Amino acid sequence: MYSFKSIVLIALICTSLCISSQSSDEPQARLLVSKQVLNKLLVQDSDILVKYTIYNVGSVPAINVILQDSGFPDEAFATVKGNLNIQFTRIPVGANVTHAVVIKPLTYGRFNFSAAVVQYKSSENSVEPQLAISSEPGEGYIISYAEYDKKFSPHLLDWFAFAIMSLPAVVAPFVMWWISKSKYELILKQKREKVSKD
Amino acid sequence: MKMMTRHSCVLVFTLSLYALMSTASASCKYSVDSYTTTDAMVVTEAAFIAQVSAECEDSPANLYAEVEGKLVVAANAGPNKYQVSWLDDFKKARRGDYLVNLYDESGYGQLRKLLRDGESISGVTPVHSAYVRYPGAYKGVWVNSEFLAAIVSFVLLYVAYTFKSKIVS
Repeated sequence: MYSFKSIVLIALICTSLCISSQSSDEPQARLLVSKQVLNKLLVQDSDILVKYTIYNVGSVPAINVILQDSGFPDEAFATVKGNLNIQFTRIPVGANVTHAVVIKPLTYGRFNFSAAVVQYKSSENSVEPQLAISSEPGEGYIISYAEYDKKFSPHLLDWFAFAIMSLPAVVAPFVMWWISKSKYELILKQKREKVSKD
Repeated sequence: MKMMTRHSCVLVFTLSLYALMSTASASCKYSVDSYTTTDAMVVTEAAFIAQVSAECEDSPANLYAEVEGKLVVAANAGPNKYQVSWLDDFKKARRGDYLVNLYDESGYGQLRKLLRDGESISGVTPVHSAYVRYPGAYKGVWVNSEFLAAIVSFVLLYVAYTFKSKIVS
């Protein structure tokens, strides 16, 4: 329903807004950060899987990488498992680090999934922390649990109710036929007994 | 002879001291709390999340995990708290228990060296091991309920029709 992957891919290209203040000739760590929502559907009270990928495309390891995502307000989301604020001591050159968090929305409606912020030291002797912003998964619509249930549940109870409701229409003629049949058979039996007595 | 015994005494003492020290450094008590995503109707990938908390004075600065030959760097999630997470395809993910071996910095160094040389990693003892259970994914109902209801009604119709033709003949 919500193709987050395409949005993410586009966002990944324009990701890592590294606001560099240092000279470019010094070897630096550069981080590409992507934030993805790996869901087919966004459903109230169901899991939403958020994946963060940090990739170091620079020439030196990134040190003290702090990832913070404050895009999920407490009144609208509960964390099922995982931490939204984490730290990696070191991300080597060319290394890919993934982090996953499972959250669940408490309400339904439109929600804008915003970017996470990453702070790191781009080289061993850099003083100022480097800031990077992850890709934005974008806007998505969280459907209510009732709506989801209506579409995707097996509806067993509904069909059972339907079967019970349609039962009289099937059983009533059968019972009537059965009564008349047994009555007729009784008469036939009595007649036969009479014949045999005579 | 006396000298020898003294030497061996010293040796035994240092050995026991070393053993004590190694147990002291490995005295951290770890507990693992895990979660896996199982609703394939909603989520597209199976996520394995293990939250590790350590109970000791000087917990390791970094923690590393090894799961089925894969190395995962644990994220630091506050003092004495770590998180190990990895993702897998719903089709590829095996149902059952996944053994997660946790290593500190020195263990991880040895592990990487052994893996690089293509040797067995069973010699390196992890600081803690835990299982993450993945019960398998829910991919929806086997048979559509509408389909099942249609089949049931057709069977009923067939039974009634054959019964009727039997009576009539």
